[in-house]
Amino acid sequence: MVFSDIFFLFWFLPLFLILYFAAHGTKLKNIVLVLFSLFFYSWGEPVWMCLLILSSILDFLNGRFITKHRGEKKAVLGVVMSCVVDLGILAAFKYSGFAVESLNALTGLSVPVPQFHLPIGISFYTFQSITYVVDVYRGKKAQTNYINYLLYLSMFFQLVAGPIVRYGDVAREIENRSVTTSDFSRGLVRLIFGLGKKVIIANSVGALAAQFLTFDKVPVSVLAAWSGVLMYSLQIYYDFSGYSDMAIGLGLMCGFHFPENFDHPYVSRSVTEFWRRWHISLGTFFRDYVYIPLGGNRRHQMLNILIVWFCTGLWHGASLNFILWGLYFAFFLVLEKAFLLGLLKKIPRVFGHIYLILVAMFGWALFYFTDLSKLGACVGTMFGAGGVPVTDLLTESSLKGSIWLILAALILCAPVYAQAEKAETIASRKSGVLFGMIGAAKVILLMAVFAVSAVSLVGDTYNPFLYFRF
Amino acid sequence: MSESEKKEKGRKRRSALECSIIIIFLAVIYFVGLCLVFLKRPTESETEKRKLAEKPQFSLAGYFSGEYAHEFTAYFSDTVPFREQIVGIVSVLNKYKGIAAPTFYGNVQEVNTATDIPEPPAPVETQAAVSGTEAVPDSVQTTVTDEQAAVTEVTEVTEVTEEEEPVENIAEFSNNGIVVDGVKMYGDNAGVMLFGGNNAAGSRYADTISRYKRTLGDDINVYNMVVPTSVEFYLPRKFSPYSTSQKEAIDHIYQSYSADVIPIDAYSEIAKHTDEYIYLRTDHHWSQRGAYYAYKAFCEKLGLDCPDIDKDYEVCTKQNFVGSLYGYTNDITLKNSPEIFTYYKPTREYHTYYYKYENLSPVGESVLFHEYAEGGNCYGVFMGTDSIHTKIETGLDTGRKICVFKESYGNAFIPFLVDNFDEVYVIDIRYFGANAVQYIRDNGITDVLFIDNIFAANTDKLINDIAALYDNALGSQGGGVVSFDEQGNMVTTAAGTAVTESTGPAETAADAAAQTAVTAVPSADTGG
Repeated sequence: MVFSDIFFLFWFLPLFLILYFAAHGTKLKNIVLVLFSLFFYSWGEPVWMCLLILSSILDFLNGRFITKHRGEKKAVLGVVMSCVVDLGILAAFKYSGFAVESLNALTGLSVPVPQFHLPIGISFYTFQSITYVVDVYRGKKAQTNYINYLLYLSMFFQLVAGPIVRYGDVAREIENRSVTTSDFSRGLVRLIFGLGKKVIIANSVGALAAQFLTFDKVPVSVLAAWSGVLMYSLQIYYDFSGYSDMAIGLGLMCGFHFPENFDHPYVSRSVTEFWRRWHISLGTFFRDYVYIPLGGNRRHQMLNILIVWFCTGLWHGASLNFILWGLYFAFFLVLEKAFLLGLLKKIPRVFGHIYLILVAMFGWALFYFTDLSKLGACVGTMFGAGGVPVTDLLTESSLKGSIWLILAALILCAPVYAQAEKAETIASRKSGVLFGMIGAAKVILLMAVFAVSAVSLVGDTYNPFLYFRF
Repeated sequence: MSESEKKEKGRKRRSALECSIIIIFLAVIYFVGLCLVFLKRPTESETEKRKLAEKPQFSLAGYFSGEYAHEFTAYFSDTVPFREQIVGIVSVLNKYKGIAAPTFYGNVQEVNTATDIPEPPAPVETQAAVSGTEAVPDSVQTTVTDEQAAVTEVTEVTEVTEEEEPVENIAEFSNNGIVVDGVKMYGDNAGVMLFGGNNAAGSRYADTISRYKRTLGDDINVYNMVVPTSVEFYLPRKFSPYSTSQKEAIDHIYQSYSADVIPIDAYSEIAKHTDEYIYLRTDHHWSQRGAYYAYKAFCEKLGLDCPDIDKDYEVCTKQNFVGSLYGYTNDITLKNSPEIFTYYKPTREYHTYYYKYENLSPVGESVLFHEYAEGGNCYGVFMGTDSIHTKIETGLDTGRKICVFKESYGNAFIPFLVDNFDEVYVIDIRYFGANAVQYIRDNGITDVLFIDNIFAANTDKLINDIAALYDNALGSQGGGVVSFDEQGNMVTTAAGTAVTESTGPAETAADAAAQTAVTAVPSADTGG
């Protein structure tokens, strides 16, 4: 099931809220949450629920094992076993096809390529399992109640597309939490705006991107190529951050405070900054669970950077272009560490923005085309190679037809909403009338976004979440 | 007021707002949630001309395969109460996404550049300027650009096609999307389906019909009429890169026969009358007036008498027709430009009999014009639906019997034939299950006409259907042997597959036809 679905919004969610708040005490609430989460996950993918449960039992037992042997060498065994099994399952489902294909291509063999259907959310919950065993190894108290551990792994908010919530971040709230009116309301607002980001913006610019950048054809004009890459850059941001907003919002409504996952990445002025603002939970996971254990910047930093970004790329998909995409960012990060960051600080800010936007856009082009020759053709078209026309009627008309929406999408990449919230707080202290007006406007805006999203979802078959692939 | 008092006051005010947000939101989702439980769900969409998803039967096996969940979710969102109205709201909302702009729907691609020819050896060149068109380009108007709907539309079309037969390669389809804005026909807003062309398929089409001619021999005339569609005459010039010449595609077919098939040049006759209402503005079909000019060309070729369209027929009209192009695009411009649907009834007496395609068992006698069809289904006036087999007896004594193999374009053409033939047999190539050659011989047919619009004649699936009818004929185990008894009823000696179903009275048949007319979607890719 996905959040942007009539069934979820008007049946699953209302029913869940009734039972969740009717349940007395955290224990009962946890049971309700687990049951709904399992239903959520098994809706359409019931087989993979077994995989999730098996993996959770193993990691739960390993957590107990590590605690039992705390301080002994044996404890490492628990970590290693969990990592091997979890990553092994991930590798089998996600990478075996790619690995065999690569092997065949390199050696000329024709080993049959395994065709696995990727279990939804596996990339996310595998990493969550790893944070659990590692956090426990590092001293966090292991979970003694299996239901609570299953809850951590399967919470329907973040199960299928993140954010990757670390065990340490929610351990306390799993056992003891309360929901305040303020949290619930803020969660609702996040949920509604997240839905709008996904349904109103991401789906629309996504349709444009698909129109401008067909996989099987070179874009017809320079304008089409640039617009296509730009629309895809917007789509992937709104799609993914919208989903994270909904997850964080739903979490808040149930008393969980998940860490932020996106912080207006496109306002960054360097790649270093961009990756501090984009998919934060993934970046910090790799930092704390891979980069630093490897030695961080204390020893063979270059190698560490290379490994981390190779893995980051590979995590996004089993294909050469994703690996190159990871290494592409590694290249800029190294460059920035070497001298570029210093240079960027000296020159006017606008150049930093332009630099980052261009690097990000070409990055997304690399991300988009799994076929590298298509990527080459697209980038060539962006620079007018082969005498393609500068513009074409179809692209022009499509851009004009969605121009307000595109402008809104560009503006909302900046922290507009955070500013509005600040203004709201100030107004609330100054004047009741002014705040009343702001409040009314906010309610109207929220309901409008919700209504437009819901209406758009009716009969709308174009509604894929991009990050479900990963 | 002290600073802390102010803060406290602010906190209270914000808290009030937070509570109102919660109350309003919960009220909305519970209210809508209950509506979704209790309100009646629609089962079909009139604008989109399709059956909506059906509620799946629960089974453990279905649940564990995940199929049940997928089907249920599809059913749930496809059959939301007031769906038609909601879809209408979406089309209005989409208007505000941008400024007034030309509107393309579907997967439109440039087809008229040297590098972009869709199928191998298609000799497409920059389209010659269309002469004598009514196109008024560049008029400024408000329209919707709706990529989302466009994608939805394409998906739906694909689904429909998949129900009939899996689509092998979407790229081979001659359909190149739909353009609405700036298109004018007869002084009013219109939409046209862009033509992508596929001469490879055209060659196969010509070849397939040639096989019929070779098998049927010299005694039976085989005619072929390929009909141009509205895009050929009414596309504003600025869009010419997106639609290729139908004249060339038709000529290509007419030059590709490998037997003595007689081509009927409907194109030239139709092209003379582009200032008359010969195509529907909001639908992918022609009007019956357009079909009349094709009939005129047919009569000229065969040396038949051709009545006068303005004198010799009973003229009937239906108001507020908004056709399939609106269904495909949800374009508000089209919705707001309904047309008057005109049809012409022959005044001579004739009898129309209907048969089921599955086993050719008689359904009964009924009317040729199904005048209860209305709204978006007006084209269903002709023959009622495509999915029922028709025979017309005219009581004439010309010694000629014609069998027409058609897709839905043929429907508007059929009524004219009652003035020239003793019997008219109408077979929709997409549904007929028996052996066509056998059928033609058994019924003493003298003339065979294949009439298809150019989209259909360039679409592999339709060509496969025509070929299948022929291949059925080669084996006796095909769809059964068909003949008529003394009463003129068709008798089927079915080879095992015949299903005996009770045949209702004519009225029931008509009702059934109406039902099917609603649900039988003319697939956009074929224009059929």
